[in-house]
Amino acid sequence: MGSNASSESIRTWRIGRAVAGALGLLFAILYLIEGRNLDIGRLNAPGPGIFPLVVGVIFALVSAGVIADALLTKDAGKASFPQGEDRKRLVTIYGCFVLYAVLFNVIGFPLATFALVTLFTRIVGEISWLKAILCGLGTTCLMWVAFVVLLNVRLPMGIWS
Amino acid sequence: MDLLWNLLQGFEVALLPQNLLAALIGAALGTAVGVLPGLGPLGGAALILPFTYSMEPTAAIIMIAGIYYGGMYGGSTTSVLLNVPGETASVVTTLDGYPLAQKGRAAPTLFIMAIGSAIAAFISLVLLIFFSPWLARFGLKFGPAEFFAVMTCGLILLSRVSGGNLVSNLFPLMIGIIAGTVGQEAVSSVPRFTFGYFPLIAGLELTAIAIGLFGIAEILRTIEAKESLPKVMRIRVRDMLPSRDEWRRSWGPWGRGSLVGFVFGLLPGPSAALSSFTSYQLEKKVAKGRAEMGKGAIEGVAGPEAANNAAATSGMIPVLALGLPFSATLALILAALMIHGIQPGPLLPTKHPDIFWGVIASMFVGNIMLLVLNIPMIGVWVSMLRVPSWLLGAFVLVIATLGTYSVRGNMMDVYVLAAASGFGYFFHKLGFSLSPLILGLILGPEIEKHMRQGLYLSRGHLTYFIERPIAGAIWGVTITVLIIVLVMRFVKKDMSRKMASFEIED
Repeated sequence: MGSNASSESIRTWRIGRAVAGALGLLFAILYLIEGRNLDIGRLNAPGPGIFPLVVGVIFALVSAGVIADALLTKDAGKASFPQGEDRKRLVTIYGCFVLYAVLFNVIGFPLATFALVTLFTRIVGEISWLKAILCGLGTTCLMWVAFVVLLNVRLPMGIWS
Repeated sequence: MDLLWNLLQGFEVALLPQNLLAALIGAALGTAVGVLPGLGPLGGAALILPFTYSMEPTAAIIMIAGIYYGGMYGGSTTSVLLNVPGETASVVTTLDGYPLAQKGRAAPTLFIMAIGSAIAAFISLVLLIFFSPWLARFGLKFGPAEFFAVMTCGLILLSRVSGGNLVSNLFPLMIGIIAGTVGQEAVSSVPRFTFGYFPLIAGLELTAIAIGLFGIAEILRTIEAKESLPKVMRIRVRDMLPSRDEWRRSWGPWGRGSLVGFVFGLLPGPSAALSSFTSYQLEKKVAKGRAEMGKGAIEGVAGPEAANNAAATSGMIPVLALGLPFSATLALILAALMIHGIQPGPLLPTKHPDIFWGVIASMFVGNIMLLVLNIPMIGVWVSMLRVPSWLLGAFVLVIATLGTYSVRGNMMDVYVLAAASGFGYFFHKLGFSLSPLILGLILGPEIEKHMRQGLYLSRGHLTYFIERPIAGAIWGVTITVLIIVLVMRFVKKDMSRKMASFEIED
């Protein structure tokens, strides 16, 4: 059982890093293609394109190195991602955070913050809805005082603008 | 005499009320983020960075530096009490710290750590004071070739000596350098990789990336599993006084640890973590109580704790005198200086003596504050261990987003924050080091600037970058170190494996 888990985590490590390397390689190629629009200049008068060209090529080589290392190394590491309920909780929270980032400017900071904190404390802390709503309200008020009143930051207020 | 006069001027700056307040807040926040689960000094410093933009540069640097060394101390508290290191440099402290706590000596151990950290910081600061003007004079001989060599070699060495395998450091480093090329280029103001999208012209915001990678990604990792609040023992101030034997056995490790830490702070790599590891190895060989090491010897705590604090202090030398950070937290200090339009480097002591000497003097003040905060208020910090991570997590998510948005009022930065947090989570899971990414992001544009200046000056002769004596020597030393590391790998496989277990997020 333990050995299975161990080989599974090594497999995850290899696949994960190979995918990261492949994405890096793809990105490096796109970066180099986009970088062709920039003037390289000459060695005695280098243009804005010379550095991206150099680092783009190095990045492509390093990405290829990541793929080779992931697939060929005998000294593979281990990686494991949460399963079942733990994974569901993590994905939900990260999803909530991404949604918060997207809606921050649309519905405004107070409503978005209230929703995020309420959901976060309810899901992660497993506290009652009432306590979670109080946490959401309290945090939103605290942040409003700290950022808007004390630090004078202009935040998107949504319907309260 | 000049040195003393400069230092006095520095104290005049450091003792200004706003700077004292910055040091106090920095030290307190640093201790708190070190103690709290799921947020290290790096995440804490990244979270604070946006708030420092509206501050005076000296106060801003003092606050971030306070978080850095405050975090070193706070992280060790959990090592002793819970066997859970708050940050990487405190891993070694668990080896003897936790057994000491089990023997009922937790309170005196925390006391020895606090005093040792302060003594180490003072020793390191005195050495720093004597060293800085010399380094600054040396730095005046630096031109584009030397800066290019020192930054490039620093990053190469960092990738090689930091532990883990080479690609684990190089891959994120290159991503950081590439991210640094997005936006308007500094020499001819040409927009690069913006795809005509206006908010990208100003480039990718460092704060958003640093907070995402180190703050929010850490929160995502802590919510992976359901937490159970740790049982924390009560620590009373009156129990903290060490016995005469513990005092006697701590002086040597404090002195040795301070010197080890000072030297490591000047070198590329995760200096705090490596210095505490080296100090522990040294104590195992020379300490009086070496037979007890690993079972609860006070030397095993006093030495490494002194070492990591001394390294945190001396790490400021390359940042202030050369503009060269060797860790991600120091890179944030560099970024804070640059955001205020101050170019760290050899000219800093003469152009901005108030900042240079003010920051050095403030570190004396900050360490005294740390001592005052940590000894009488130890109960407060220990009680913070009872803060549930779900409450902390919700706070961090919101503060991170609002802080990031407040820097430029640009929604693009909030999207980058969300993307960087997911990216940081996966990269950490897959064993990639994240600190090189931040270093690449900050140093990449500097390397490009010096490379292009060098090519202009030399009229395109590439040999210019290695034929100047200092640049040539830096490349020579780098190649030698790389060869030594390679040979050591074959000779001492066991040692490399131990070093590889250290992550480099310090």
